[in-house]
Amino acid sequence: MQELRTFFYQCPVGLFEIDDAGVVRMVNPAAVRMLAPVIGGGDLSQLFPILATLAPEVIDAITADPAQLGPLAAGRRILIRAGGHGAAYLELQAVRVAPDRVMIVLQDVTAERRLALRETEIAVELQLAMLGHADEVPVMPVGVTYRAAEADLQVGGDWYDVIRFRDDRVAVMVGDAVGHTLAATTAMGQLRSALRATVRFCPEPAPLLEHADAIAEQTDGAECSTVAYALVDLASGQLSYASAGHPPILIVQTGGRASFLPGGRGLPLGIAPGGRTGAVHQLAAGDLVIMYTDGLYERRDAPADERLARLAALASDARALPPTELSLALAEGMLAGTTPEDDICVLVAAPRINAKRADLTTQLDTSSASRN
Amino acid sequence: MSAGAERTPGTRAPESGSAGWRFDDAGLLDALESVSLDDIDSIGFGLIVMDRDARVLGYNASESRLSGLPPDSVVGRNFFVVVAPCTNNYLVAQRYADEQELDEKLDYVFTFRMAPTPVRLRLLARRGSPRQYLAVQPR
Repeated sequence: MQELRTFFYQCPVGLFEIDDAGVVRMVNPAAVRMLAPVIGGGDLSQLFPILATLAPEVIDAITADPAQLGPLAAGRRILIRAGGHGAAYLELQAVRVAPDRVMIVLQDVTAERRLALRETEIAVELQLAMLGHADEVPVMPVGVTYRAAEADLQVGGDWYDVIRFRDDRVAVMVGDAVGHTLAATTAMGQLRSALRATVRFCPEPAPLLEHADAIAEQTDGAECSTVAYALVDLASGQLSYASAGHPPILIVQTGGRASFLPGGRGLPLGIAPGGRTGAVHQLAAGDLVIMYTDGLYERRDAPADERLARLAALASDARALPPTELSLALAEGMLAGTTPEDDICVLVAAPRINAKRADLTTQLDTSSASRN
Repeated sequence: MSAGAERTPGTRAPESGSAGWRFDDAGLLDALESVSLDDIDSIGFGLIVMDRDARVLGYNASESRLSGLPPDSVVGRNFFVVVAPCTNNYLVAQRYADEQELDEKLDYVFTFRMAPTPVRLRLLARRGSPRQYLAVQPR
């Protein structure tokens, strides 16, 4: 008997035995150690007043059906605020071991919780690093709305990037690695950073996508990724573009006309290397360039062309919005309250065509100074 | 919080015989600093004498009656870890670790024989002393 008592006395898990009315029959030291901040000057003869403030639903679970034996409540998290000593997190279980005998088990999960939070932080940071930072271009404001399909991921297989050159050109791309799980995220991250480095010395659409084919072949999980690429010359308004199996770029003019760019099409990356073709489109002042992934419009219950027409109509109607607001309006308008099954990325670029070269240089300098 | 102003030797000192000491005596810490472990059993409230690493040096008869633990099962053990794990938190054990000089009372609950027992604690320690004390009184 003494050995049994020592066993419960030294047990690092908090233990109570209470009756159905909450009267404490037995309690071990660990339970007091954990609850001491909320017991205060109380006498602990009754557990319900303490539960009433910490986890009232446990009282309901205990009193609901006195005939029910076995687990009554499990995994309830309780927060104990300990003055200036931080907070403690306890996990509570209630088990009716016999009629009118309820065992309450308390476990201190503060350390586990801290670890889990840190792991989440690391995971989120790594994911955001995969998506990286796009360049900011004062003469071409860009707005992006991005949503990962997986509830526990911040970043999925979709990506976007904006790369500013020292002359008047800006490259924009939106891509989609196959799938939307963590594997897609890692493939996307590698593909994106390889393409970002490649664009620097190979900005023309067709040769760039040929490089992209080779990169995708070399990168686990990157094959069959799709990407739309556009190179905008802000001085001339020329938009060179190409697509590897990606939905077409949407152009919205100031008057409201919205049209998809038809050229530069090809297969997804890494399938049939070589022989990419690019196309050219002349932008007018005020044109918006909209790039997106298939998660934005694909639905099992509606044909793609119908959905793309809807996207064009929405973009036309909302074209007066600033880029970020417009990208959000398109995502919300296309989702219409449904939960996305795939990652979604919508990018709206508002290039200021014919911006004088001098202006561009000045603003670039200002921008880099203010960000450094 | 500490009874610094009341600790002047000679003022309000407990009676000379430890049998007459009371839990709330203003000069209790002074008296304890000079008490011999042989004399603690006549004290009318529970008293645990520890070294500064919380190893039990003395466990008096009153405390032994309250807890049901014979002194020889307790002496030499770490009080906060082994003897009274319910005090191993910031409210009690951490106070001794953090503060060299300590004289503070608080209401607490002990778990003698697995039964919740409301007690009043007085945490006592003098800077530079090799000992620290916990006085216990049922409430």
